[in-house]
Amino acid sequence: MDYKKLASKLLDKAKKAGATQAEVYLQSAEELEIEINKEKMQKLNRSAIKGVGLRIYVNKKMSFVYSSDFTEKELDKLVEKGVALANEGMEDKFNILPSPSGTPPKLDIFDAELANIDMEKKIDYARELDKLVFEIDPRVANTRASSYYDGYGELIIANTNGLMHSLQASYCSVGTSPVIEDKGLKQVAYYGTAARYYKDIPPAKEIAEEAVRRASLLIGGEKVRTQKAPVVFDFRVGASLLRGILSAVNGERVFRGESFLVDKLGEEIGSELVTVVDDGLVPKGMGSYPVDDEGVVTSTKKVVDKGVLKLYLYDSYTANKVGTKSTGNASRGSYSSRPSIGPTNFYLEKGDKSPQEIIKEVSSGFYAFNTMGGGVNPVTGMYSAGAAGVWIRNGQLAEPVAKVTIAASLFDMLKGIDAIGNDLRFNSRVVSPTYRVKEMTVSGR
Amino acid sequence: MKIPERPKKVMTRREFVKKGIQGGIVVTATPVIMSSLLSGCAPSPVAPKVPWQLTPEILQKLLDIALSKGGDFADIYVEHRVSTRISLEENLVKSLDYGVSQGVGIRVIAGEEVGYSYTDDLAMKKLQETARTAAYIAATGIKPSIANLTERSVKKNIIVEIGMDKVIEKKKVLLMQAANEAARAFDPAVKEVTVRYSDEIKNLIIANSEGRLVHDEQPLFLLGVSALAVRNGVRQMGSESLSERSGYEVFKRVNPSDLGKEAARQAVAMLDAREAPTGEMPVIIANGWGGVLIHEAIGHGFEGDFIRKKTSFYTDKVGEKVASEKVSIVDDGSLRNRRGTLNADDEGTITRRNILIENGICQGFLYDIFNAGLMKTYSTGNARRQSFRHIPIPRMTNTFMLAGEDAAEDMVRRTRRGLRVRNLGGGQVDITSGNFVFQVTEAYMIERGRTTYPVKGATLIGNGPEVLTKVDMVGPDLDYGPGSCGKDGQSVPCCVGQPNVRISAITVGGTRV
Repeated sequence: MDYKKLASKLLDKAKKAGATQAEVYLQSAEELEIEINKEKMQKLNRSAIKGVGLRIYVNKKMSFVYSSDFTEKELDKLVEKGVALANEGMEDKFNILPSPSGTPPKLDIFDAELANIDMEKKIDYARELDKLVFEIDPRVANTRASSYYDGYGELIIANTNGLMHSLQASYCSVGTSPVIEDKGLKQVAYYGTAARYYKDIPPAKEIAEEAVRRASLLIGGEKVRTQKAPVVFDFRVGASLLRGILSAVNGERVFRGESFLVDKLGEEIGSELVTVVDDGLVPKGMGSYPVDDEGVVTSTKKVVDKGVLKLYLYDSYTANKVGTKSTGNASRGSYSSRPSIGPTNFYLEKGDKSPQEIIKEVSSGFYAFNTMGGGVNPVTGMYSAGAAGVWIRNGQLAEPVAKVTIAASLFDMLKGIDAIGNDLRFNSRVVSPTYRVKEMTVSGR
Repeated sequence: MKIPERPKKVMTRREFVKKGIQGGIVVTATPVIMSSLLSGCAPSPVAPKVPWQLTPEILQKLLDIALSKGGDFADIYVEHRVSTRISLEENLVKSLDYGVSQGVGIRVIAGEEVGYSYTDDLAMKKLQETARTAAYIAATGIKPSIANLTERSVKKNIIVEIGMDKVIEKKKVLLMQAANEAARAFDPAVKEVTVRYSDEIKNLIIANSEGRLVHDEQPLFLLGVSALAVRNGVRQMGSESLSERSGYEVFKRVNPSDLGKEAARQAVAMLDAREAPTGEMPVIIANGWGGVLIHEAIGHGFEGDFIRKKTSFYTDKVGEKVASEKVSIVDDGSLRNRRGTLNADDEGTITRRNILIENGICQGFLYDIFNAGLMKTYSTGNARRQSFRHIPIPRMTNTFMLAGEDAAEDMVRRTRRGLRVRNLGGGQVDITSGNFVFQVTEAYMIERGRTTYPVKGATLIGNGPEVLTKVDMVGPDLDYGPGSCGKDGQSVPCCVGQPNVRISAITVGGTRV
């Protein structure tokens, strides 16, 4: 089916039914999920899905309707329902749809080969991954699963201001969670990664070794004495802090006062090592798209520059409310949700130290490998999370630690970042290199 | 794989105290609002089309294709979901949302292997293709016998008088406005209020190669309020929600204003909070949503997939003492109209009351058909899935600790220094180690047997099996709270519950050393 044509047709239908403005967000995708556990196919799922979401405006009143049924009759009903609901709504003078502006960049985000690669080859990857974790360490008793997932699809965003974008994107992700059993103790760890292209997935051995290394470092972890100590955040858990900052710079939250970063633009909120970027253009980045989820062209923005807060993130609606321009951060979970504000590639800029160097400089501190629980409260600006990892003694990894919490105010954390690693990888939307916070409260015994 | 119904077991246990929703929600409804709300319920302008064109004959044929290459078992899940969402922010209704999603998922089980495929296109050709894709993992080539489908009725745990789909949007908006206004009027410190309403009607057909055929309807609604309070640069949020598998009649007994007031109360109460303490101490966790502790710290470890793969702490522990004798824990999908309630689970198995722990002794686990089959036991009616796009896995429904006899006041009086937790945020657990974490959203210090000042920013961390042995006081005041549970990338509605409970020692992670 020509989805661009269908999108135009839906806009016409909406206007005919009484809409003054309308927007179509149409998605079609195929996905593959392979999960292996001890040579068995724990799950094999190959499926296709499609759907369309319509924002419909009657003057400044808005509704949102969606469906996966593309038959003419059902779409007619959907549009009618949308117009009827918009009429029931309330005027919001800030409602707005973006107009075409700028040229979307050409980005390397679609692996055209992915669909042609034999499924058996992908199954073999997951099988090898699962087999390897048992081979690497005889203490591995089981895996939660070793997985290979991929997906690719098409997205059309069009509106009655003449905006029309069509794009294709793909992803592959792999991972495994070995369970190690030793002297009556059990420890699970997960490690995995993702890429836009099949050829960029690392060899299974690399994933297996890292997953087993993590489980064996953590096994037998116990509480430490409650104390103030430096905390090194491994690159995987480092993102938990960034997700908190991301919530706090969400323009809608800021507008409503639900952020500890309200009225902090231009102020120093972190150490000068801290630069946080939202960049829709990272080559092959998992959050890279030419346009955001309402068709606004994406770009590279510094959110925090050398410790100074520079920018809140906006979609068109919220930007209109505060009298500024969209930052290209409209984001949707799927065709069945309205846009809200979200990241493209949101990251802490890397530093020049290796993670080993960062650890070596610590005489007594905590190397956090896993964090659990909420982390940052974007309203109060407090950080508190459960954590597991390894204690650092005289620059060396010493004994495993578990069941502790790490806590501090976010300002203290950001200002206390005194080392940033060079190990930044764009394998997720929110990513971080390893970094160290000078002092946090570690609670245990 | 044969899946006979599990025989009903007669159990002696402490009486389950059945109560309505508490904690500032149950108050007599304001007559004015109620009468205006209940008059003139009009049907939705568009009547959704349920895919009943998928007749038993068609389903039978699809099962036939699914097992044509071999395998032990196949099932089909047909879902048709109509959803409405309304959001009220900054005193304005921002959007009225409406959506229809439908699809069919087909699963084939061969030994320990599972093949799955789904489609949102209900054309016969697509359905056949989907059945063939699901059959990919089966390779014996020996087609098993397939029973003739026989429709069976499911018992009614979900009884609705006025379905939310029959109520016009304006009336839903009135409920939201009442909550919004009450929250704003609560205190001048309340600066912003967000009210979210959503409802859905899910129609299902479940058919399997054992001859099971079930039609069911699952309604669900949620009315949630969050309030922001600001004073002297200090910001705090509070939230409260009501969610049940009920209809509009709920608002005969629940006043939406009370949801607003409760959200505002929490936010305002925490404005004066001091930094949370750190270290091990006794903690009293309030009844109701506090039961999320049971769900995370213990419940997940009782799910059949973790038991089968021996990755749960509770593997092989049936008959052993795993908790203090004050502790009895139940998962019951058959409670009337609650958020975690189902008539039949997502494999068509009738839901029931399953005892997980009785007086400290481990009694049994939660199973779906797949894991139960491999464990040579029965499904307990705990197979759940987020949608037709997901395979069913063993999950909790309504999970709660039974009431005891220790009054909450005594718990406080008998605590020299500790924490009284009135509200928890979300929690998380690592099944293998049993280690869990909870964010505390509303808590008060206890000093010398008296509740003193509020504290903020605390986290509770502990080990599920260990904490169970440290439950030393259990109150008589069992209550419930609605939630959503995420596992393997699937989110399902659930309900948790507990009375007031004291844990003699648990690590509180704050910032004040």
